Amino acid sequence: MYSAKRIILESAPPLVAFTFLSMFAGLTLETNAAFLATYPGVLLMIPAFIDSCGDISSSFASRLTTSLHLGTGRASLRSKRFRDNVAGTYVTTILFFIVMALLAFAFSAVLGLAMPPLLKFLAAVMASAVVVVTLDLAIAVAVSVATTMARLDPDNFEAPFLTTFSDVVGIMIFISFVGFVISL
Amino acid sequence: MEMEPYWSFRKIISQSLPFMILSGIGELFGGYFLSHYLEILPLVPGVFVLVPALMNVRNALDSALAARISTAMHLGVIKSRQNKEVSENVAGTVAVAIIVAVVAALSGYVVREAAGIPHVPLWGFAFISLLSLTTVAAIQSLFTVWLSFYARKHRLDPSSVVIPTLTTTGDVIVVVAVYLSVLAYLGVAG
Repeated sequence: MYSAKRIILESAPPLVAFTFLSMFAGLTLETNAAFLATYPGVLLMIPAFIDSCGDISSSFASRLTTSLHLGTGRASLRSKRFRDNVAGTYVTTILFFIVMALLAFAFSAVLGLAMPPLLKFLAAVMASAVVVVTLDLAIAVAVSVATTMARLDPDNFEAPFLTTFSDVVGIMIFISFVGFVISL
Repeated sequence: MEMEPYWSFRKIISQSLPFMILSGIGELFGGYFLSHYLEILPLVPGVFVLVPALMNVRNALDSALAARISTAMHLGVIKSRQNKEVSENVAGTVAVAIIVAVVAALSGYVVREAAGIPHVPLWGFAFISLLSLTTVAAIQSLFTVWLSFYARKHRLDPSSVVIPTLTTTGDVIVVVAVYLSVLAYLGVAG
């Protein structure tokens, strides 16, 4: 059923492309090293932020593609199933990132890592998470529609696109928002 | 009384939020190790650029391996750990990790060079990228196989249990592995 050769041939090409794109996320971290050195507590939030935005939007996409496969839903706000999916995703995002921002703040205090003021940090985390997830949802819908029209399996495209996008753009938006809110 | 559908607004939140918070707490530990990078960053300029890429690749490799093993288990192709399908899967995953680690090192070097920002030599990028990603791929592949069999033994669906567990442990392991690889590089480079 599986061979190492087939795994290499099918997995390596997209991963190579995504690896190159992810370098720009790393470059964002590097170029903001001075800012992060001032507030090292912000770094606590970075893996959770990028991974969770990707997880939340991948779950949204997975529910969407399942309903498309089953023929029980559409990528349209006229569908109750789609509206529930969108609303559930946003409420999960908001509740999750409130909890995570508070936990990151508490962990930073315990570990003695400097953090921006709580309300500013919370506002920056919430705003950046909502923006990234909104962009992710738009991509998820576009990919599902495009792959369905092209008679491809959307499951093979949604997660790699969304996790890479959340990594690359998520870090840029998060760092920019935190920097902007602190400067106010 | 009609049962609430699994895709309802309330079910989406109640099923995903608790696990996401647990996973997020695990990710905070990854962030804690990431904050230690600030201490070594001046010694290895440019290496920070590798971290998100290696986290992303590790996530994709582990999820794909777990999905393949889960499918093979459901189809009855894999019944024990001493199986050619298992060894081919692990070998394929580690081989892809080596290829991608080389590409990550080259990309990291090229991006820094193009941006005109100071960086460690190319062999430094290659050393850190290869050592950390192949080590993580080997550890996580064996963990994936063990966890898949553990899940099946306890009548849990490997698709539902293994991938979420791996995404939580993987990011922390990558951050620690890159940090230790940097220390090894500094030891070799003097």
